Amino acid sequence: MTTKKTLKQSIIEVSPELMAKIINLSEGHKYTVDSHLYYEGQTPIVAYLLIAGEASLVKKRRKTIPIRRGSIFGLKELIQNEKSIYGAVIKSHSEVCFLDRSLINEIENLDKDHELKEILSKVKNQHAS
Amino acid sequence: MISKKIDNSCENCPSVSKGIFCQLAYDELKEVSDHKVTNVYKKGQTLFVQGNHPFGLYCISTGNIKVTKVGNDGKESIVRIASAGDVLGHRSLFTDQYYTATATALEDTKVCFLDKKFIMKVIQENPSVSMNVIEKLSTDMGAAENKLSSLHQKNVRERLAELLLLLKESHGEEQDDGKTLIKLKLTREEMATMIGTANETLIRFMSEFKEEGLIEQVGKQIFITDEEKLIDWANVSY
Repeated sequence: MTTKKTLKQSIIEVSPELMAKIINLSEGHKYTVDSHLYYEGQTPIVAYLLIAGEASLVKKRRKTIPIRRGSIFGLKELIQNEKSIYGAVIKSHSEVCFLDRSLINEIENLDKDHELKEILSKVKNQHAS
Repeated sequence: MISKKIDNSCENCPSVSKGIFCQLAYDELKEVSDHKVTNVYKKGQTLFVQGNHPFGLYCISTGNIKVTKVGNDGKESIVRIASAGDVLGHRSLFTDQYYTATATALEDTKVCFLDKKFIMKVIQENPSVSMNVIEKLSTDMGAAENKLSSLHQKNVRERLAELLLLLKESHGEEQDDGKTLIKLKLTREEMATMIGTANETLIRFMSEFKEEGLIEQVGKQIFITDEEKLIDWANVSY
């Protein structure tokens, strides 16, 4: 198993190999200023993979959960179309990959076994169960 | 407790007739509905920030968004107000440039997001959507040209009168007594940046407009009371 899931916190850590594969699918983008990626109570408009820098999940401006490099966040809420109990913020000069709904659909339709397909199906199954 | 499920489908959107998908057939509209992400942004929350990378298109369902630019001196100026039926982020999407402005909710605003790949596909497959996007871009361009010429050719009094007329057109609500309520709450500072003047100057001219009976103010609400005079003061032919 190449991934360690911490779904309770909506963060999915991926292996460096899988991270490289995701970067191949979706190029990285650098944030030039500190930004809110999504606010508490919102559905993330895309999921994010933190490639470099600092990002964190925040709740009521008090509780902060740092996100490690190589973590995907916002995916569970995006797939399940649910509101996030956390907001997410990112520091300037941090780099992320966007995993939008189009990309998620593409990955789901891939013929070969892709580790991301496994993650997506687990997140979906969690919703179904 | 009975929980009511919120209907976020495009077909039931109050702004569908003003939006870029207004001519889509039911099935096509459903595809958009199924793909989009809908959120409510509270007052002061940002949709995107100047300098960041664009990754999709935002459609405003209800509410108002201010689009602002921050200059090198750190001063913020309002470029435009986007309202229900408008789209945001389309210019940066096509040019693939970083966002050149910041979009912030002026009140609780419902916004739908479509990622770049999907919206490009919809545009390619549906000429009506591309025509509507072109129309939005052209309208924005016309407004930008008018604003530029106003800033160069008009004095503050004329610019304020013109702004009030524009707000009447976009957010005006006719009252029983013949006055028009501007249903958009802007701070004095925000109004000042829209006409490129200082806060104090705007307040001075607002007082003059009130004394001359062009407008009335009740709390933060502005009523247009004499449109003809306002047109005259704006030095425009409507």
